[in-house]
Amino acid sequence: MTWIKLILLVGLVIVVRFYVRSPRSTLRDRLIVIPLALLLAAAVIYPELTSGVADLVGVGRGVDLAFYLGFLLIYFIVGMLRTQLTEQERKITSLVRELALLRASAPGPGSQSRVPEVEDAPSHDRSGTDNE
Amino acid sequence: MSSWSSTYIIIPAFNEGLVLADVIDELSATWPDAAVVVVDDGSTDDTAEIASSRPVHLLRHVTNLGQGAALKTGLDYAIARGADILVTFDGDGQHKADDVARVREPVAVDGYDVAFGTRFADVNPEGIGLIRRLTLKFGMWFTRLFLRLPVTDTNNGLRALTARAAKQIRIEQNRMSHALEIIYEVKRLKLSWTEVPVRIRYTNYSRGKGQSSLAGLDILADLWGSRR
Repeated sequence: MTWIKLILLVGLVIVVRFYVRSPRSTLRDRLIVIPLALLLAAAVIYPELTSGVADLVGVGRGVDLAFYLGFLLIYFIVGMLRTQLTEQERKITSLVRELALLRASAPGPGSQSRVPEVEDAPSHDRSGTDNE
Repeated sequence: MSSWSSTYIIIPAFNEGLVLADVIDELSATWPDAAVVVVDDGSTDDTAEIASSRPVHLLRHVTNLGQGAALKTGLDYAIARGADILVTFDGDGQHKADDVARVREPVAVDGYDVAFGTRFADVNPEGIGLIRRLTLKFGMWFTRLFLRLPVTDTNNGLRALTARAAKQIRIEQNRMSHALEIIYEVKRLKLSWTEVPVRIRYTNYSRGKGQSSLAGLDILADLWGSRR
């Protein structure tokens, strides 16, 4: 067994363990991930197997096929993350808005309005200190 | 007919500490009966302090969301307080307080749902750069072509809306694309609209705060992505 095979197999085991142990993974996910991992492990140990598949779909070598599929997978993941990010942003927006509306200050009869409380993030200037 | 007391002027402000005092003071001196709403969009300067020492409604985003989001927060607030007419007004000092009456009138008196301020109505605005000019023209032609709405200035922050119109308009673009989004919504909801010439002060400050012309492309991309 060559070093690269060892590295890939160890990496695969770590990723799978990480995934299966994560509280968010469901049984259904595991039923997909574990067989997939076994297939990948087989491909690492016997790379010739992938060449057969590559031949079948018209790609020169098995490694090339894995490369192409890997790219597709990465784009897919990026797309998924973007969708989640957009959703996250939407939630944050409604949260920040709700907070702003709750803490709104109207001008008083004496015309001085109170500064609504804002819990600043650590990087922000503390409100009330006029330092510029 | 709506009175000035139910007119709300909404100012989205992000780090406008240098000019916000003048903007607010000019507005309250010119329109003492109108309510001024400042939405501090997570500023890290003294924007909130400046606003709080003046007779305005102050809303604060705990983190920066973008001008579209700030505008929406201000509109929601004003509607909840029973506003009849809502005027949006940029916080960087590029608008003139007098012009509030010009965009308000078609909505308050003539029964339009929305009135957009335009800087291109008659003469060329003073102090505007060539690139900026071309970008805005491009925005205009794009809007005409794709939305079939003959607005002449797609990125003017000064506009007036009735409460009815403001309630229906969805602003989901947090960033600058909301300007086009509002135009899109006017089209979608078949609201009646008109344009009113307003003057823009192109100062070095407002130029610096404004978006670069390339950002126009981002805006198109944002809208394109969200509407498909």
